Amino acid sequence: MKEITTMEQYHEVVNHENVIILFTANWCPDCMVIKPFMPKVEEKFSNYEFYTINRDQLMDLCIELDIFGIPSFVAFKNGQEIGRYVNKERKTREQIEGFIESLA
Amino acid sequence: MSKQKTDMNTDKVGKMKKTSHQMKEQFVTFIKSLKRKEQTTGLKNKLNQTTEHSSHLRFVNRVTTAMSGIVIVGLSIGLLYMAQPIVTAETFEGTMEDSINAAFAYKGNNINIKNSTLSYHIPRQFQYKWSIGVNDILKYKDNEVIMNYNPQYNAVDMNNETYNLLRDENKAAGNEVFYKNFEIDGQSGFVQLVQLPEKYLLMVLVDGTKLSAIIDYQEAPYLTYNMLVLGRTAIADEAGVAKELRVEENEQKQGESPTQARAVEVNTSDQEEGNPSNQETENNFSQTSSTLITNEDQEAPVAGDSSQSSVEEGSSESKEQLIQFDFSSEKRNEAENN
Repeated sequence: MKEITTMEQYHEVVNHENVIILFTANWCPDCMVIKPFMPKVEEKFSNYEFYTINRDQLMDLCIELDIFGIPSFVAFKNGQEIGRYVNKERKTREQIEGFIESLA
Repeated sequence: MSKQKTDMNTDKVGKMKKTSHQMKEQFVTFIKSLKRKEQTTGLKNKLNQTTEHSSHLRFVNRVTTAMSGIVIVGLSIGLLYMAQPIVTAETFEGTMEDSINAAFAYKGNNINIKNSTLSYHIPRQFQYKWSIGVNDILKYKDNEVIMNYNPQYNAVDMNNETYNLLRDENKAAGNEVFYKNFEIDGQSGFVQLVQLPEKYLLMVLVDGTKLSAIIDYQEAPYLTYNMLVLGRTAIADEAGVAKELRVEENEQKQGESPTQARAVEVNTSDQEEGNPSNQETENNFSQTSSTLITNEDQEAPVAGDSSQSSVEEGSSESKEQLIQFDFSSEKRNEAENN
């Protein structure tokens, strides 16, 4: 999973066809819990490009996108937000996959 | 005859001169030897004095060396002792048990109030950081450790099934080093430490309040104590609402896993928005408890597209209030001041 570190990079990436961004942070325990299975999720949904954003690095973007909690996912298609799974709770693999499936 | 006499006199004078010269030489030699003796004696005395002095110095030197040795050895022992991990694999379990027992023995009255809705004890070394839009977090040791504090689990089941679900999720992320569930003074929960590839995940769940942190191994017992004290003293003033939600959830979704039940709870509260009393309660909650309302607003997408749109519309007001509340500069300043 590639990391977005600048706003310019973010604006460039969201214009791609199918993009899912995972908002995370190094200190976030629940983010660490989902980390091990994320490569398999990426593999399963290979039609999406997966990116991560460290919310501490791009706090203003998080505020702009109403990222209330982490880990959270926001999906984009050609610059448009097509879905979001944002809350403070931990997400299970099934919940994440369910969210991605609901985007289709 | 006279010449003979003269010759004899000359001889005598010569002999006398010779003798006198010899005597002079002897005298000079004697004087020289005396001087040499004197010098020798002086040198000997000096040497004796120096020897005495040096032996005294040697003694002082030995004492100093001994003292330095003692200091160096002492410091080395001290440093070695300090370098030794206080918590080792052998002592870890016992230390964790002590921390858990100590946390339940805590009878302090130092209660903090967060946003007038939640009372809890925050250990002095922790800084409560307002959520600023993202999770409630507690910072510790100049931001080295950030503890994620999440009271949302008050609204889900507090039973072994929930505990096991969380435990298994954590276990899947790494290697479980420690786990202990407890039921003390009517409060139930567990403490779990999982070794992740880089650090350790410590989770404390007590009476539905979930606290977790990414930490170092050494910190586990200390943080366990503090997280338990914080978790077990958390009292949500809106407990009645949470309880009510829990009852409804249990009635309607029996047999579902706790994770699923979390999503159901959202729908339940949204469906009942038409009820004035419920609406009032919901609004109060949105003003006072960012955590719960955020979950309710955002959990819906999991349930499907149709519920997503309805939930987003239905909860836009409370969401807006929440955004204003969380992102206001006043609160941000408050957070920074804290």
